[in-house]
Amino acid sequence: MEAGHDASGDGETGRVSHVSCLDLLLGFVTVGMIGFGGIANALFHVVVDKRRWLTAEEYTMTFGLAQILPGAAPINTSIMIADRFQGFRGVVCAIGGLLCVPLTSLVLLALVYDHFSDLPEVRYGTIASVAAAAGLSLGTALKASFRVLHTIPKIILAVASFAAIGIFRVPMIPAMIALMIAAFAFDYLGREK
Amino acid sequence: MNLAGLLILAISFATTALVSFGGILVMVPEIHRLSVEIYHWASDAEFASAFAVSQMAPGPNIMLMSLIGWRAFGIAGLLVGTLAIVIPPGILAVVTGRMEVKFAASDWFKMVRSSLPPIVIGLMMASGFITAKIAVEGFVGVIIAAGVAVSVALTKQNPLIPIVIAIAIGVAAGHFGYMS
Repeated sequence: MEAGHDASGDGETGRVSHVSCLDLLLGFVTVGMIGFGGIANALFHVVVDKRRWLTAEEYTMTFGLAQILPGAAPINTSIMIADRFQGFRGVVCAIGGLLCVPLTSLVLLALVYDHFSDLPEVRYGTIASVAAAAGLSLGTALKASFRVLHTIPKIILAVASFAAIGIFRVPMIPAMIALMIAAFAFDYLGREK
Repeated sequence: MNLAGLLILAISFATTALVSFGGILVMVPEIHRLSVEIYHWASDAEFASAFAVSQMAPGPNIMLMSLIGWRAFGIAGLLVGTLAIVIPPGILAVVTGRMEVKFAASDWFKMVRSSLPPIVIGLMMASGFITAKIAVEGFVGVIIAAGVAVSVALTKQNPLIPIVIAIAIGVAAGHFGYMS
């Protein structure tokens, strides 16, 4: 995080200065429509490249904040962006726009799926797609562990959270509270030295 | 309309959303535990098909929860399931966004940012493991999961590409009798 993002001075950042509720609605309809496999890429494309609501730096900073919040980072980012331009009304327009096309297609797809669910091909496709989703989670975790898991406490935390949720099926709320306390304790002890 | 059921859906999804650091995929084991094991809103097979359908539709990954809500409680469930995942973290996002600069410099922010990643890694592993257990049967499923995992871990492409390839391989493998 760089110093010098002192809010003022969007003189030549090349971004628009006013974003209306209608802009937010239409922009987020696009994000929902073109966002296959999650909306993170589509969100950047619309907000930064196409509509120039934010510069790439501003977007990255907002997304970085959203990532340490609970919930879906792209949705939290969308909410922060909309709130910044139009407050509560902006958030309603953005989320309504973002979800209307996906939810409609979801229901239509589910109805089509039900109609054809007896076909063996649909069953194979379902198994393959869930297997791929499993691989997606495992691959993402693997990629991050190369970068992150360099110390014993970090490895302990990763193994403990995997075992609690994946093996012992501990309810997530108490598990997360315990894991966060352990993580803060490790962090604190690590800093003392 | 089943108001008590909708209320349970709203509260259980909302509280889960509030502790799910690391995105929507880390919620999958808990959503499975709640909707299949505890409240019986779906069977394992229905959960798997909801997962598959939600991946095929455009839009955010939260739509697994939308679809679980829809299957259990109709249109009201669709909206409640979706908004329960969006609104509670969204309120936190608004509060955080409004004090952006102050917050980013605080010790609390730094501590959360440096402590979370190992936990998120464990949660993602658990999510992959539970997801695989729900639907993957036979060696083709295992090969697909492993193949996608390796390609995601080693490359930077949009995850949609390996998923589409995986579905094609699965359908072809099934067609030629390699999937039980």
